Amino acid sequence: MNNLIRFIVRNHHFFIFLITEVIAFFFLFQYNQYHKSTFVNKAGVALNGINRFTSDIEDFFYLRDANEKLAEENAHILNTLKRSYKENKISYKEIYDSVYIKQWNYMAVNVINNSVNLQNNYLTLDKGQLHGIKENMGVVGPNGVVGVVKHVSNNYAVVISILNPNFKLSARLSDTKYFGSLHWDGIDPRYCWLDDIPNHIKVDVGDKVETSGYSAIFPAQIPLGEVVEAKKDLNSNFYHIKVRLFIEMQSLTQVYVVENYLRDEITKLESKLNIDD
Amino acid sequence: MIRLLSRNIIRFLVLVLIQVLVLNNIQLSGYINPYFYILFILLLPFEIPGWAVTLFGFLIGMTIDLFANTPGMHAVATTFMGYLRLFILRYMSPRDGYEPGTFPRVFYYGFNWFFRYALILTLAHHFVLFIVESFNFASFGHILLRVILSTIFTLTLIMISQYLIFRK
Repeated sequence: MNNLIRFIVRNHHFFIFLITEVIAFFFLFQYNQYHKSTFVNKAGVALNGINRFTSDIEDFFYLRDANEKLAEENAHILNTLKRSYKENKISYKEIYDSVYIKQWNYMAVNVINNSVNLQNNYLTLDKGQLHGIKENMGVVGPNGVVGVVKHVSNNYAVVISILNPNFKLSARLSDTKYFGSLHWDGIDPRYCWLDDIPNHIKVDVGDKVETSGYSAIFPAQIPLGEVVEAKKDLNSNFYHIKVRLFIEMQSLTQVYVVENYLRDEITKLESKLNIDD
Repeated sequence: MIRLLSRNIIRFLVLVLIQVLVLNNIQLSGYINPYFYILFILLLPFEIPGWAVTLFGFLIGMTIDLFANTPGMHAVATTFMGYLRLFILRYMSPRDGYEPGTFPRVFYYGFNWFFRYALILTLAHHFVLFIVESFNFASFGHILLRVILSTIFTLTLIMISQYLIFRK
């Protein structure tokens, strides 16, 4: 500090010159329009150059942020693409008719998950509660029964497959109309077993098997398969019939959910029997 | 001492008035502007320190500016001129220095010395003044022409004043 003061005192002539010149230039640029504007312009050009240089450098360091922002925007734009949306269209139409009461309604849905090689197989459908799917609705494929809806969320439904030992389907022989229960033994997804057919009737290889329509879940007369082998169980008086399924569970893409409009009526009426007992 | 002070004050006022009332209204062909008022700085006594001359330069320049409505323009030039005077005087000092009781005039140091002294400082002043005035280095040749022509005119007035007014 002392040295600085000494330096200034020693060069007081120059410093006074400097200060007065600064004051003079201040007046010059402050009160002369021409000088002011020229000074501002010239200084502006120089400052612009410097600013551009520094902002270029700054931009380089902000590239990372900019990239992240762009990526976010990309994600946002991708989200608005059509392929990001699941189609919520419902492809059925109700027709009211006083001659025919519409009992069965079919709704086309897509299978988005499927399994055939597990013990308990399930399917997932791409429509759910919002589209009118409820639990215990039947699911049929192009030629046969696929399963029954087990759980529904807003947009999806899980179906217990016919290839699941817990699933039993009421089925009958097309010719004789004798009915029994169809179930899977957990071994070969192409074959199911039809039990409870009494062994006094005649069953041939190649006989057709169809749904009985007793369950209020599936309509009657949906073809299920044909008999491959009919074993007589000597202990129980019933056949043990091996059925080859028409439906190919491995290649399911589109199935139909079946709704029985009269189901409530049937179940209510049938439940009265239990009360009577 | 008081006589010296009052003389300089009167000289200051008279020179400013001449400059403002007469010479500022003379503009020959747009090139020549005589600035006779710088004579005040030229004639300040040797004994006044350099920093004071700088301040006086600023003062008279600012005064002229106030009348000419060009704040700072003349002040920049006269401050520079006042700052420079000390070094010019040192550079041009006789072998045994400036004698006490003498003033920087033709009468004491001769035409040759005073002419060189006045020429250098007038050139310096005019040069700075015209550069600041145009504030544009693109027309440098034009500025130089104005500096030279105005310097001739100003210097002529200063030299004449040495023989008509400041004879002693």
